[in-house]
Amino acid sequence: MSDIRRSGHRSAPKSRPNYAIPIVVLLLLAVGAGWWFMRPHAAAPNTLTIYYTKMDGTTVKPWDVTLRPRPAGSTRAEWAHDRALYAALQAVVGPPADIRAVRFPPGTRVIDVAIHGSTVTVDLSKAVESQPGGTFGENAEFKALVYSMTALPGISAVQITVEGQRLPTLPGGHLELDEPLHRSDF
Amino acid sequence: MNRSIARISSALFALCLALLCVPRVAVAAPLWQFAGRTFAFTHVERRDATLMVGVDDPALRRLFHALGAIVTWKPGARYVLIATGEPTIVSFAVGHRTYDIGPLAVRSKAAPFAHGGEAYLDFDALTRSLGLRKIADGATTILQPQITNLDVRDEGSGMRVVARGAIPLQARLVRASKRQMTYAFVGVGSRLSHLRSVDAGGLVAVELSQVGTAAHPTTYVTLDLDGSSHVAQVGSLDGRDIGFVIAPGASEVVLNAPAAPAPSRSTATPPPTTRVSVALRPPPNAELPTVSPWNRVANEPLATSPPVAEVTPAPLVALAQINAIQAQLTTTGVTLHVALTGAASFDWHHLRAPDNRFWIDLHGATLEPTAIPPSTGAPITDIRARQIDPQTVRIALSIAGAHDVTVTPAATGVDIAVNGTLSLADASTAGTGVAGTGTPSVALAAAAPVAGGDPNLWSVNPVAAYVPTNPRLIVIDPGHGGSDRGAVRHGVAEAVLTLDMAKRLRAILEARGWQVIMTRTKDVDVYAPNDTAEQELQARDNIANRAGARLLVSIHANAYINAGPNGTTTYYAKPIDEPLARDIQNELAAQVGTKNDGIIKSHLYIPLHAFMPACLVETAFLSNPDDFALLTDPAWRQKVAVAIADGITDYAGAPPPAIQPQQ
Repeated sequence: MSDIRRSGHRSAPKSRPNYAIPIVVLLLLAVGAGWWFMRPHAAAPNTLTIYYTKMDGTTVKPWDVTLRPRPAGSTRAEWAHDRALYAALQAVVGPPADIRAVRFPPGTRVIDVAIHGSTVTVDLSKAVESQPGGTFGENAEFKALVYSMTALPGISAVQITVEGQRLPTLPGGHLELDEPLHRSDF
Repeated sequence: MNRSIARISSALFALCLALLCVPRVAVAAPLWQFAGRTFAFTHVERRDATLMVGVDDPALRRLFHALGAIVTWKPGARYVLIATGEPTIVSFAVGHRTYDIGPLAVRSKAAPFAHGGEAYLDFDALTRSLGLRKIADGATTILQPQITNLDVRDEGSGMRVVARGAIPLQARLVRASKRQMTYAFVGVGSRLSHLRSVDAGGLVAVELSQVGTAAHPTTYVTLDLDGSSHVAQVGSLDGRDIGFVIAPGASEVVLNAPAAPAPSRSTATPPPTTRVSVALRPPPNAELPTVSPWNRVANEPLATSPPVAEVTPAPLVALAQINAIQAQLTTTGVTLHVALTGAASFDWHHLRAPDNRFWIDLHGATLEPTAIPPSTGAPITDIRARQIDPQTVRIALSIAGAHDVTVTPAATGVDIAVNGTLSLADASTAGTGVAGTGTPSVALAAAAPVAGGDPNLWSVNPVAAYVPTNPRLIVIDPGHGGSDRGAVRHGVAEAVLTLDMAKRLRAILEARGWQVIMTRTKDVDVYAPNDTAEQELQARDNIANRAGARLLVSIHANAYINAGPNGTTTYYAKPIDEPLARDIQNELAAQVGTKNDGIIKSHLYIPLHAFMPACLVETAFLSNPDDFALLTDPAWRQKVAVAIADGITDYAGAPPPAIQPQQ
């Protein structure tokens, strides 16, 4: 490149800008192409990534679900709430029945969700307290729920409540639920 | 006359016509039959001749309950979300005919609508999504539950057939031969294809046939075999499904989920034939001490000294105690007064919208748990206070909206004033100061903007450089106990097994020169009978924290709703826990012969609230038959104790030499 530029300079010094413009254009194209291919994947607004925990009790796997159609006229906050509620419901119910996953106790219901800043509160029904004992289920269930909820844009923490009440830990107690859970807690 | 006759005739004709038409105009309450029960829906509407039923209809709610389905909807919501028992999520959007059954998009005849604070759904769509088939039967319509899914999967070692339906399935073997096994599913019909060819893993085909009446159907599922394979019914993964495993050749079927789901810990009723008596004897070569100052009341301050003097005890620092947090409503908002018994330095952080959180760390302070008020008043929506390390208390506030927060040191503590009016400032702020020095005005650093929030604001601080005040001391926590039995299977309680393993571990560690405290030495609650889980767990952490132990190991037995999961796992929470967890897990994996499930980080209370390196060992699964046999074997429990002791040695080396108390 430098040889070409030098030879150009010797033979026709006034034509130098003719090389600079294509180079700038090429650079811009390269930057643009780089951005295009490297940009964060913009998920479709009604497709959600939900996680479940495999039967090893710790490996989380994603699967996609679709909430459709987006009702016309809903505000951004309403849409965020609907998506979060759907995500929580999917995470608690778990993946399709033929997939082996650690699942919440049968009958566990998502009563509602509420978003405050970067924290989403997921209110669960009392059935979640019917754990079979041991750390295995509690850890795997809430890990999947936390991964699912923090896959929502702008959400980094999940506060668990049971029928509106914050619980330090489930009865019998292994997992601490008093404070919002983050992915880094698992 | 003729005219009046004609008038009367016309009127009579009109009356007859009206009477004939009345039943067509009114919406009759349809009768439906499900599992022998009749349901009459009353919240019904019609849209274009389509029956729409309100989600709050009492009969529909009973039907949902019978099916194990859960509806999530409230007035004003845009979606009606139903978790079916199968389990699948069905989502209806108000005003849209397309609805989703799991990944399947379907169109209903009429779009859901909201009317009078209730959502109405196309009943045809609803029954379909719930796995029910409608069959007319005179004046009523029968809702026949269906086998909705028959999954045939090649698992390498054999075939697995799993059936799921609208209701929990039960299968009965009605015919068995070398070439055919037929199971009867009573109470369910099926519209799945009658024959599915497989030709793999010893399974030739699966045949379905339905017999009985519409109200009392039975579906036969016949597994056609190649003549040399074996079939075993393998119970249920979640209480709703039925599974079969077909193993080709003469080999026996290996069941990895053989038992029906076990009920929760407190309601486990052992079948009499499988009751196992567990011998809980101490190891023969160890004499177990019977007296320990730590076995009863965990929250008592350490009144008696351990028998061996500590090595290089850490200097005692007089800590200020937070003995009250008082909230006072002011004309501009609310002011919290944090009352301190001495001086403490502090730093605070305030995150602006959308997080609106505030926290203050008081250094050189301890927290009296009763100091935390349950609520304070607007605009503070939540207050939490916690001892995040031995000398630091964090008080955190959730604030409704963006408000100014002013921190002012006072003679007896520190005042936190939250202004009730919304603030326009948008930068996060932070500051430092010293409180409780006896003089009301102490240097307070100017508030400085901070770049961003701590994502783990509410988490307990990991203690990066923990210095034990008693480096010879190891605290062992036998999980559960007393009124909390832990997991219970076949009459064997986790609380009993953990105590036995802990005693064995104590004997080994003491023989190796460690000083050991157990959080309990009997089958008792550590805090109090029928206490809360938090009281119980914190009491165990308090024992280790107050004693300044070198490390804490909590011993447990795992369990799950089905017999599938097995193996040994060591859980940890804080970064300083990980090396200890890894060393213990490595020894367990090498010595005890269970499946090595590795170490797992989790947000567990016991290690999280222990200041020192701590971990929770889930030794094996009570819910797995193989693991259960090991857990109930005293020799195996001794192996576990030895492995944990070796892991502690790997991690901590030999115990430091004891120093005789000075005369």
